Amino acid sequence: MDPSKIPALRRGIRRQYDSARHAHVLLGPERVIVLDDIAVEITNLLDGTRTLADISSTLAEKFAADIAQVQPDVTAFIEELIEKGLATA
Amino acid sequence: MTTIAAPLALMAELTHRCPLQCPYCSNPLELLKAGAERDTKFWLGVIDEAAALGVLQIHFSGGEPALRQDLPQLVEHATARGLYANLITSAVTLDESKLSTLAQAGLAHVQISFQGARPQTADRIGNYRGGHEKKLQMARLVTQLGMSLTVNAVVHRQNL
Repeated sequence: MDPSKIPALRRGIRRQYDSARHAHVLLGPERVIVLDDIAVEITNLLDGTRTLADISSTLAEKFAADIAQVQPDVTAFIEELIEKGLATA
Repeated sequence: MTTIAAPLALMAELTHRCPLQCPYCSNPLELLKAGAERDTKFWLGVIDEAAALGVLQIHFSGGEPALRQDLPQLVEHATARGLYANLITSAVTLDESKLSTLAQAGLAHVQISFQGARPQTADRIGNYRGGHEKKLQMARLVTQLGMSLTVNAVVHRQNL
């Protein structure tokens, strides 16, 4: 996936906090995805303005991690969301 | 002691009334009339209980749920409680105004049934003249209004 692409949640996909499960979830047509802590951090940044590269560098900075380590993980996660029809880029 | 995970979805069968007469339908033969249906207050309470249990999706079904006058109110209440609202409908009693109202109430997803690929076959199976064309119009409108669309179709010898 091109790092200059701007990923965003697809129209109709909602992200919210589920107080029964104490977790953030993504909701779509007949879909419920429970997000782990890392997924919450990444989806926080899917605001329709940040590129994939921006998201990776923001997270690398926030967690004082190596961008070379962060970017492949972020890319893989966003590619998975796109594959599942939950995001576009 | 094992714990049971919270349910994810609630199927709310609001009514047995339906304008279509598809022969394979699982709607009960002994239909409840409108007057014997659960009222709005009952369903608002069910939605509250479901949300408290951890239900995240609600499927409004029937019968034809769009025949319920309180459908927009139920959709709005479910959405306010964090439920992702889905309408399972034949679409033949919908129109632009009703769909817009539902979209504004927060309806996220609409599933429209199709009885065949062509009007002649479809209208015969559902026994509803003009139904197929209406469904196509409503399907277009669902996507124009920004809601997700799913097509539900029973496939059998007479529509293959």
